[in-house]
Amino acid sequence: MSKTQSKSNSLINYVGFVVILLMVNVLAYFYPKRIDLTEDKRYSLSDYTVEMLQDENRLKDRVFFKVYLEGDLPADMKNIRNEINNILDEFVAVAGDKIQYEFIDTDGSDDEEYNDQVKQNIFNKGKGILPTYLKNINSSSAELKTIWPGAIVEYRGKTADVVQFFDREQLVIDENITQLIDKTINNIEFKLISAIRRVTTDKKKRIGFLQGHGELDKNMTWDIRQVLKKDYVIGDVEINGQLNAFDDIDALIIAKPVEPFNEKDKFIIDQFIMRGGKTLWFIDPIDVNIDSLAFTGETMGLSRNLNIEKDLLFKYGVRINNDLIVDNQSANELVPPNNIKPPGLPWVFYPIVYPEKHPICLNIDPVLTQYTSSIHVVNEKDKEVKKTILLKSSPESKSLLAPVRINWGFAFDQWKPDFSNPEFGNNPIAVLLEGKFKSPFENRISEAFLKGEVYQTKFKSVENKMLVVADGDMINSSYIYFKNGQKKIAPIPLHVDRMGVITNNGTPKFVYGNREFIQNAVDYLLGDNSLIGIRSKTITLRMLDDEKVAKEKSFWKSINIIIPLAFLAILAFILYLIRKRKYAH
Amino acid sequence: MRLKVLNLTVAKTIQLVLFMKALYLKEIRTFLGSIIGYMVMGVFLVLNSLFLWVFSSGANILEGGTADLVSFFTIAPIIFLILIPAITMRSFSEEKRTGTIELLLTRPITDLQIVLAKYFAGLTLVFISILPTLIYYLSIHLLGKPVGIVDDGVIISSYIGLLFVGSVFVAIGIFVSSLFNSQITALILSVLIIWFFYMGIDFLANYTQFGSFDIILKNIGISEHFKSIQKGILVSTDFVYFISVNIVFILATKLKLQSRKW
Repeated sequence: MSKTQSKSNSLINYVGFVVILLMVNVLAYFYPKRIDLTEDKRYSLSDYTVEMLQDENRLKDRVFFKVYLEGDLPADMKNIRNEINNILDEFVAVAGDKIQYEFIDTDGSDDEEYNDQVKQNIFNKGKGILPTYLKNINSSSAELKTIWPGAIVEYRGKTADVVQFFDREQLVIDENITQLIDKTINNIEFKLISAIRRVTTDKKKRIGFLQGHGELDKNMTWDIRQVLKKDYVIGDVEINGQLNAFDDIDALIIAKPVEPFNEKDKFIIDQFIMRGGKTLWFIDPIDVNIDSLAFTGETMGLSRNLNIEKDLLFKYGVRINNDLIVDNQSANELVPPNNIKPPGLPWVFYPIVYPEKHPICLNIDPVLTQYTSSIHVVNEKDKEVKKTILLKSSPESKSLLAPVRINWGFAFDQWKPDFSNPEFGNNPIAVLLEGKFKSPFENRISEAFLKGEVYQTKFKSVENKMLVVADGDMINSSYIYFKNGQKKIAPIPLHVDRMGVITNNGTPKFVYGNREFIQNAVDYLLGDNSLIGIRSKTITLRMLDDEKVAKEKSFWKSINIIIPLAFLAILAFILYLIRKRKYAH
Repeated sequence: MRLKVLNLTVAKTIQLVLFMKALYLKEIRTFLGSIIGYMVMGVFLVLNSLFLWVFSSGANILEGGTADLVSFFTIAPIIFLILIPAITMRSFSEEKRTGTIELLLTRPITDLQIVLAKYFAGLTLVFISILPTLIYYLSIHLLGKPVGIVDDGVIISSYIGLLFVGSVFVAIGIFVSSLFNSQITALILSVLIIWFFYMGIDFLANYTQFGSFDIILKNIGISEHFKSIQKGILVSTDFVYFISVNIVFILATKLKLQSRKW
């Protein structure tokens, strides 16, 4: 073999090898296999997400996410941003070019006018992304920065939806907002996949708000309607004695009825449930006359006759108690004579309840209730109907049986009820019922009606779900107040603390989860259970123990410098000994 | 007859392995027998410790407050960028300068084995320098709230990734060293080439207007493949990439050694 031959052989061999390796790499790029080593399986999408992203019938066109949480962000916000990026990357890995995304810095351009235009567009007069003002208290100049924690979703070339990753008007950097960050990060996958589900769903389910028994009207439930409108078709329904009143709706919301239901209405609602219709009951069994409380300083909470608790709800599995819950952990009310100005005083009849661990209430803020009653779960061990308590009052609460005397004294410490016995606490306020419900009309309907072929009566339901809440105001987004002896009503979003109680840093102290709670419950009742699976995935925030760090700072500093060097020294010494022994012989 | 042949081949293989082992040990011994060796490793460890625990910067673990080693795995490759060329610079350059390379090449082992012995020796030294950093893990394990909250899966995956990155740096360093007689030239060029592969390509990809070409460019770079492994996901693509790049540079070094016969 000549020299030149061996040279060209070697070169050809080498180039051949490189080309093969390149091909292997390209192949590996298109067929990636991944193992998620993180303990909370942070980077694994839930099965439902993967299923939806691979569903060609659903994802017919490209969904484009424009995320505006970008730019010069503080660390916490950067974490959220990176997490959004991660999850979108995973989406792309599964769905290919059906999902695309872009991060856009609202201050990205040098042209101020252009930037302003971008902000105007994404804000879209309040219908788009809502900004958060970041305040930096540590810096000498109190600088205020606006961030846009949301994304615009485009489908078929049009803006189809808005994703709001979190909704706070103002945040203070360096304040402990771990919980918010935690919640936000946990919710990203859910929010993004719901947006995809939303924009790609052609036929929306229908929800009816029941009317005709003095229920809350359109204006009083505007906030929740606005939220639900994104996913569902919303409308009012009245029974008017028609058997087919609910034929074209999938879920019925009964928001704080005050007049009794007649037997016919009850029968029609019951048959709706028996046929698989979902119901959400927001029932106030106690009538509290707030006018008389405002004008005379005292009122009586009296039972109101709705004619549904004893048979209908009882048969389904719950009893709404004729009581009012007072709770030490409560929202504020304007209390005369001296505290008529916000923020008022804590009012024990407005319990703030913390959600239990259930997919419906996971990662939501505490829920505000007003003059709430409690629920007693009937026949707890029943295998046909599974009952889950979703909300209950705090351990420092108790139930006052009707008639309840309510006066402003409850606002002052010396007249507050004794909350020390935890046995009186933890009163259930919202219960989820799942299973096959029995109709209370069994054995009550005339034979003649049953035999008639016009209507098929059912006495046992198909697999069904319902939510019963012993507070009608949970869904009420109107605020009644009295000014100069006049009663006034103001609209207020469900999550906003109407007293505007603020922390030392100037951020709202209370943010309520009522809206999300109801929204999740509707999703849970109407949607795929799998959607809830994404919700129940939690990601733990892994933090250092701040106190320990502060206390033992110098210890850990020195340990981490000395030990690695000591390791080297020991290594050198051992090698020295070995060498010495070797040459000594 | 057959048995005899077999015996012969076995004996030959054992001999080869022994030669390789001797060469491998010699490499490590020379490095660890010198003050320079300890200085290089000591600088690596001290720099890491200072950035992670003492200096008040974005990388400070105690100030960051999260129980992870993200900042370590971000800084370490950058320090490796200088440390590893300092380890590998002498592997061929020194032998070439002093002429011992001729001695080495007359031994009854193949060129590939020489390269591999030096490569594994370099890798071992990298491993030894990383080993003491386990104290960082132990520290955040104990400092976590509650103790042990740190995600072990992510740490294991990140260490695997760091070793992969180190191995690529070693392969590049040895290749560059085989090209030059001067250690200093080898060092400087290694640093430059490794920097280009680790970060430079990324810069290019970010500032080019080639459209979809930037994805290809990014995927040639090392840091792109270190990213997901650092987060705790082992992706087959990254494994294939790291192993391929190692092979490419090891074979290139072998090619360079062979070229003396041309």
